[in-house]
Amino acid sequence: MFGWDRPWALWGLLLLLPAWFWLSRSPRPQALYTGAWHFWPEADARTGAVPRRRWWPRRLAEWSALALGLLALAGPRRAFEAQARTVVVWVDRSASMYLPYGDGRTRLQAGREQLERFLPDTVLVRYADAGDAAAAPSSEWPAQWDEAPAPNRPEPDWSVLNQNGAVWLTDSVPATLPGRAAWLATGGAAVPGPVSGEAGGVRVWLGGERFEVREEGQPCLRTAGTWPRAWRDLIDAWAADRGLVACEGEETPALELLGTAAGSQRSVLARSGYELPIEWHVGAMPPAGALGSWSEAQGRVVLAWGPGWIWTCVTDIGAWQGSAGSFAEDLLRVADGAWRVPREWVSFDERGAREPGRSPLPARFAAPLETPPVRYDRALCIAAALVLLLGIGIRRG
Amino acid sequence: MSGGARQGRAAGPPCARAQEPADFLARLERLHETLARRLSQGDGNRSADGRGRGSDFAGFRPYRSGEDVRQLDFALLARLGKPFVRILRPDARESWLILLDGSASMAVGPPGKWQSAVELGLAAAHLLLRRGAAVEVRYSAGALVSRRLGRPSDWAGLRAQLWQTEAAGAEVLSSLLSGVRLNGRHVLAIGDLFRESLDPWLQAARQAAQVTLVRILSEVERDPPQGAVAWHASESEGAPRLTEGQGARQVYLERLAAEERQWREGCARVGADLLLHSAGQPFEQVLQAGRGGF
Repeated sequence: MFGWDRPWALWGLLLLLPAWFWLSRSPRPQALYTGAWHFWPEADARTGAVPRRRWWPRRLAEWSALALGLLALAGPRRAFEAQARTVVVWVDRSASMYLPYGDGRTRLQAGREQLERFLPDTVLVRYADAGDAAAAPSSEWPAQWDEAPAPNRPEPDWSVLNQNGAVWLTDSVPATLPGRAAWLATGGAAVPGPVSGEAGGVRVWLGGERFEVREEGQPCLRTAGTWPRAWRDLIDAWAADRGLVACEGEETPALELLGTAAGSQRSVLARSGYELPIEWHVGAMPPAGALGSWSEAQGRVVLAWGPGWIWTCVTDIGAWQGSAGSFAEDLLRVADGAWRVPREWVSFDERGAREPGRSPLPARFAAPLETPPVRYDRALCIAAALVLLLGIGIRRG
Repeated sequence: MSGGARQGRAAGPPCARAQEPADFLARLERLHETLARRLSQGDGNRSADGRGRGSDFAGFRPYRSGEDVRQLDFALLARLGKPFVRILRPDARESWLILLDGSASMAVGPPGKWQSAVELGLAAAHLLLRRGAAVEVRYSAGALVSRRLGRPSDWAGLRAQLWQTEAAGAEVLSSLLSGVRLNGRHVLAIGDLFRESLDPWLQAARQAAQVTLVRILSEVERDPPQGAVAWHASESEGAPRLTEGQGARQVYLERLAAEERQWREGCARVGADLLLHSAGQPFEQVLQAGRGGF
């Protein structure tokens, strides 16, 4: 926003125009006789006037200097509107935030409402998923955040989010209070319910110290295509340990093992700690949206996984070399990353009652970010002096 | 400048006629006495009555400090051991030709150039006649006028005539040289030397005993004003030339200086004197400064 410190000085500019006309008018010349007529420069035949040498640059420079001086006296300045400070709200989207809070709301929805009261109107709010520190903050609250937690999302690593201008939105008071970031904990009552799967069923917390294992609600595992027998056995053991059962009918699987027809291509799958001769089916492609993959010696993908599925074109394996334990750990880590943990399963620790709390937002965040105005009077003074020197130079030249 | 500055179209140069100053005769008398005193105290070439250098021996007088040692009589110095200066008597009467530029350009002023020229011419004629020289005064103010003066009493007629004469002629100063014998004569030419060729004067300087040119310029010609001026030519009709500011003035001054440099160099080549005089400057200054025999 442009303004003036001494706007009355601008009236001087209005006076410049008549002054220019007054001083620029041709003065009535005095008539003089001379015998040295022939020494005077030749005159314009039409006007009789001897051209004046470099009249207008000098005059222009002098008047420009005067105008610049008046402008400098008026004190032009450019003021900037106070800018709101930006606050990044890091949102805990772990399963516990989707537990009921009361009045049909989840802890997350309640936290969002509390956040509106917590943050002053003067700040500019950006939202980011605390489980993904590299994510770019969004100016809008993503609608899908209200629907379901991020799959298999553990509690955020708050230590990497301890930043100035950051606000943590979670349901429990942080175990280690941050030095820089502010925080808002929704708290919430204890919510009994499923906490995990185990062999034979789903472990359900009933409140207090009471638990039971139920058969209903168990997630299921579906297999399609050919898998190496040893791999399948390993996955079956892993599934049984987590309470997964074989899918029946159109039931949505928590994990689907996708295989191919029998393959004839032979190669070696070399991984950290072991090497495995494999027989695989050439030409098969993994589904889109893979989260990770394994490649054989020639660089072709032979195993990939994504949310709720593991795909492989390996149909048989030979005797491996190296650590069998390394291979098992490798494959089960893939299964842990791929299967969809039922949304209802929330750890016993997170289902417990939480104390609400909040830290004060640093006071400076309540005040808008003031930018001092830029003043141009000094620059105009320098410009006026330079132009004046130019005019003097022209006069002497 | 105020007297010479007129608004609008000028009717003609304002100082065409000269007017005798009230103390003119008194100033002439004082100048005569001053010059006579200087001569009596000065070199041995001229007697106290102002007669000029000649070749007839008249006698000796003691050498005075500061005199030109070339005037010493070395034979007498050797014989007597004391310095003496030979006193010579003029061979014949000095003959002077005084030329006055009466063209219209001399009417520029005030102070008027014609006024200064008349004062200077009359004063020179007066002094020369008083010391016994024969003087011829020529001027052209419309028509050529030539007056030969043999006695101091002849000066009164010249005086009356010149104060009545207007500078309105068109002839250049050198035109007054035509038909005049210059051999052995002293020439004093007074004018603004505008539109004048240097050659006739160089030729005259080779024939005459001495040529002295006195250039008289008006104040506005020597130092033009810096404001807006409509310049009118003194000797021709026509639209004025409008000037304003430093540019044209600078060109004017450069051209004037270049022309005067040519005159100075030309005069120096032939041993003529060139005196630059401003209108309004007392005639005494010129007559005391010149080495043309005053």
